[in-house]
Amino acid sequence: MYKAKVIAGVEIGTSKVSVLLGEIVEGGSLNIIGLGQSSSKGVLKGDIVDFHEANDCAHAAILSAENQAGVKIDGVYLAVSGSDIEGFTSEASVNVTSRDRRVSQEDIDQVSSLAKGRDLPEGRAVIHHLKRPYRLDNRSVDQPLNLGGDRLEASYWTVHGNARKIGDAIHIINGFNLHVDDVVLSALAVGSVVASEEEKSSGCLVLDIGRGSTDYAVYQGGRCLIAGCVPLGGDHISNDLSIGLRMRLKQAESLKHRFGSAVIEHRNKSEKVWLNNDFEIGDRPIPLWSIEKIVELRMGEIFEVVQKKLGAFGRPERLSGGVVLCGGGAGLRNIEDCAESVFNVPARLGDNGTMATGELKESQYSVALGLLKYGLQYQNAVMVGSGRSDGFMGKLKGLFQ
Amino acid sequence: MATKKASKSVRKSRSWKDIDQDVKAKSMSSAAFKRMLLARMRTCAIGVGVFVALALVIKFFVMTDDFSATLTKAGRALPIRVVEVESDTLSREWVMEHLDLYRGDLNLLEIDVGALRASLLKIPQTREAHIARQLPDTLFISIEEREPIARVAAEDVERGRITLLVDRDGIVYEGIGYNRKRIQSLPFLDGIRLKRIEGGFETIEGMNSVDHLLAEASEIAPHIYQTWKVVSLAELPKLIVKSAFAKEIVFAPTGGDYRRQLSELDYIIDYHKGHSYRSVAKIDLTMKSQVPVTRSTVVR
Repeated sequence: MYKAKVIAGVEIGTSKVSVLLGEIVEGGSLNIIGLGQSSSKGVLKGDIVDFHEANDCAHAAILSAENQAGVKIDGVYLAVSGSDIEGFTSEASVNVTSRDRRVSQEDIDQVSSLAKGRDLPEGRAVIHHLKRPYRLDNRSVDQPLNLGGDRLEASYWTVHGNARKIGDAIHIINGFNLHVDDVVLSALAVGSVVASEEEKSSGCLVLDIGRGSTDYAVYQGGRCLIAGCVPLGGDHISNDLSIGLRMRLKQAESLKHRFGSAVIEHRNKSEKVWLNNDFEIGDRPIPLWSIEKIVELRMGEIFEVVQKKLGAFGRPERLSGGVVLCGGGAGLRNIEDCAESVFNVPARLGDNGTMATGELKESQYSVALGLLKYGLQYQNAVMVGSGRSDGFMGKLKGLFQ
Repeated sequence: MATKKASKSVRKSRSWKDIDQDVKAKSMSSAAFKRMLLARMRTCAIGVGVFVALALVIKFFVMTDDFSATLTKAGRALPIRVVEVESDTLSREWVMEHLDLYRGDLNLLEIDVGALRASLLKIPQTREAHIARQLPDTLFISIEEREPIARVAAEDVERGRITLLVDRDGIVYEGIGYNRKRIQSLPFLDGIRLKRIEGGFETIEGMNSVDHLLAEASEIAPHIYQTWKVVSLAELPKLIVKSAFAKEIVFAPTGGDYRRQLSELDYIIDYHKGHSYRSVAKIDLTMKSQVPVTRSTVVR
């Protein structure tokens, strides 16, 4: 008899900590049984800058989720993001060893190990190896086993981060007497939920615009080829509004939410809006055009930075599935138009409709939902692959990615 | 071989999984510390519960072992010192010998009273037997014996001519411990065929009538009964009695009418003795109004 396992998807973001509890029933289905949220403190641009504050916020959210569900968590899937997340392509090639020139499992294992074995700078830790299609004599193949050829090449997108920063996030979870079962890049978690299989297959970019950072993931052929994070988010816009229009950050934040638009809608420069709209001393009119101009520029800037990071993967011909936007920053009006103008492909707002209903459909829960989905597949893999090697697990994770 | 060489040369980059997940209590929030404390207390409680349960189970087994040992000791501490036997003719000594109760190692709680009773019931002379333990040291044996009403002469291959006893139910048995005089006072049965069966003889039919007749005779006319030597069942349901006075006295199977027949017999005997007849050949009491008497010898 299979015991139900309670897993938690935890996202310690810049603006909030989200915890979703899922119960994996009979190893095959996931029931979402609890939600805990708290405002985040001690996190800046996705990085933990005050351990104790971040610790308290995360623990409050976890406790709230546990109390709501009335169960204890068995394992945690933790989302990581932040400015330190980087990635590189690691490649390796081997000559096919068998006499009949057919690729054996040993060849695949060897080339995969060589590709993954690239040294990282001191203090860095691997988070994911995102597998790309193999190349056998310069032709792209998904599964080269038993195919004929002379030279087999493997390529991975290796996502790595600062080991200390990842350790800090893990220790926050450990501090609640919980064990982190896996660490997942936020972009991957989001992508698994908001992008459809068709979009992933034809090629799409998933952007999770948070308060402090923007996570990105490019899918093609149903798998993630590149993922990462840029340290620019909603705060980037609010900061510029604050500086450019000379107001406090909180006021800028409010103004952004009330009047912000990712493309200029109001060309009339004399059209103004009140800063606080409370008719008290200090309240003043602000040109609406100015707000929209700043927001458009900064939003466009974020997209351009991402596009630059993507390099060849960001070209319109590789993103025929379009851009899927989610996260708190995607709440800006006309953000799809802004994204379309930068990436030259259609853009849409993503939600969690394929996996959740009601409140959980909102994209602010995409990361936590994606983590649960990841956890479900991981648990299934553990059940199916129990007694097998880690290689099998890796393959299953690769499928998910 | 190529694979092995290659795998040796493969380097493994550092993964997030290498990060130590042990955590010290001081880095916990108060909620987490409370949670950890509760979890540990629960673990301790479960541990203590399991320990207590195990201890109780062990204690139970030890106690059971002790208890049975105590019972054994108690059993050994109750040797049989007195055997009380309540019976009619079977002597205490015979019973003790038969039941093998002279052994010195007998104790009251270990002895199998069921087996002793079965052993007693195997003797045909025993109608019923009761055996009871009377603490602290007495075994009480009560035997209800069969009452012989007649005897049968039989031939035994080894012992020659033997006398067997018959009770009112027709049970044939060898009498044990009977007074010789008592046995000799019983009339012989005639006109029967003894058949051996396992553990004794086949039951004799018609003994109810014999019992009735003999009981009535010994009660109302003991002087007549004393002269009866043989009761023949050859012409059942008629009973033919051979006595010192008459060679054949034929009684009719009339149930409770033996008193009348005995009264008539008494009168006939008195009459004939009064007329100096010492014996007659046959007296037929089977007819109600008439009693034919066949005289054999007339002495004047």
